[in-house]
Amino acid sequence: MVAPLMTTFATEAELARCIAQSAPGCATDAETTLYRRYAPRARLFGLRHLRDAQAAADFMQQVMLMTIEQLRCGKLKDPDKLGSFIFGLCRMVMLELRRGGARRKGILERYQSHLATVDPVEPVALDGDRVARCLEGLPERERAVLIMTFYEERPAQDVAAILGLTPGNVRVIRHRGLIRLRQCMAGGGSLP
Amino acid sequence: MKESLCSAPVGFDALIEYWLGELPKPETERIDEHIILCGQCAAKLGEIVLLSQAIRDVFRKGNIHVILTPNFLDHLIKQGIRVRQYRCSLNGSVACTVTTEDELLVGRLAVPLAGVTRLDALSRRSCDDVEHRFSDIPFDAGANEIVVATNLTRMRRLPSHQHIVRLVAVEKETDRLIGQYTFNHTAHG
Repeated sequence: MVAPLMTTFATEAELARCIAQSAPGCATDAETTLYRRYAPRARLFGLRHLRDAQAAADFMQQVMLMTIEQLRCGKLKDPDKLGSFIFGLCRMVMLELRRGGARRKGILERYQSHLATVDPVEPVALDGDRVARCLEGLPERERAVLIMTFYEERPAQDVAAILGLTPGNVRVIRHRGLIRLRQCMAGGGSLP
Repeated sequence: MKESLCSAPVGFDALIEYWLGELPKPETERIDEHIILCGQCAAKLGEIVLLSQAIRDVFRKGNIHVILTPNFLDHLIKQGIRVRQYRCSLNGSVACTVTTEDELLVGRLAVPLAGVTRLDALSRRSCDDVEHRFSDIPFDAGANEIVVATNLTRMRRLPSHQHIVRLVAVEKETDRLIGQYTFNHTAHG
């Protein structure tokens, strides 16, 4: 069986207009395109500010649902500014989450089944064995700094206090370590 | 619909600083917006997130040899990580093992670090009799202790053996032995 071709959109404005002018459930291709493009970005925004994968996934879903809802309500005045519009929603949802927003539950209940058909955005994890091999190939100091940094995503100032170094020194070591680690990962797991 | 090229790409280091919360608020907000608007920079940030997650996973599985500090180890213990630790006095020895329940295996080596500027560790196991040198290991001079987390996966595969670690201060390209530690390891099960 041949899968039906998805409608393509030349511009973001065209995409936004298509969703805005369609009844719920009648712009599936446009909604899928919107979701695939912006959901991973909204998820990153959520992760950065919430530091929790499940909370970020919920945040992403809420932002995307609100985007579609508000496009249909004609809230986007300039269709060329779709990205900025979504950024505004990200900020608003984050603010509401921090206030413990009651609005969230209502929106999710209204639209959840509708977006459930869109592929979830799950990033592919890196090869753990390769990462371990590459980390073990780093100089001791770089490995220690990377692990103490990323174990709990701590800023240079915290790691510096743990190791008795200056924050600037930690940044330099971290920078070198990450360059080597990325080179190793790109090279299939062996350090240059 | 094609992604247009980014006209003002955010550098990798700036994205790392953004991710770790090191930037001032206005810069954080600028990158917040840029990540939503720009697919290329969002993809770079996505790479950082995956790398961060992978490093965390490797450490949580005990799948890595790494030098820690006493206060970082205390923090892990407070978090409930199952740590098997062996303290070894200066020039002393200790009997040790590892079990399947352990999440982290550490040796705590007491060592006088005053005046030391560079510290190397020489490691030799009787089961392979090859000496490995770990250069310029990180340490907190005030702690007078080195905490070595061993690769658990590798340790669980090793037979009973003796492991000797020598810590040397490197001064003008010359080694000065400051401590020797013997771990008599019994394989578990």
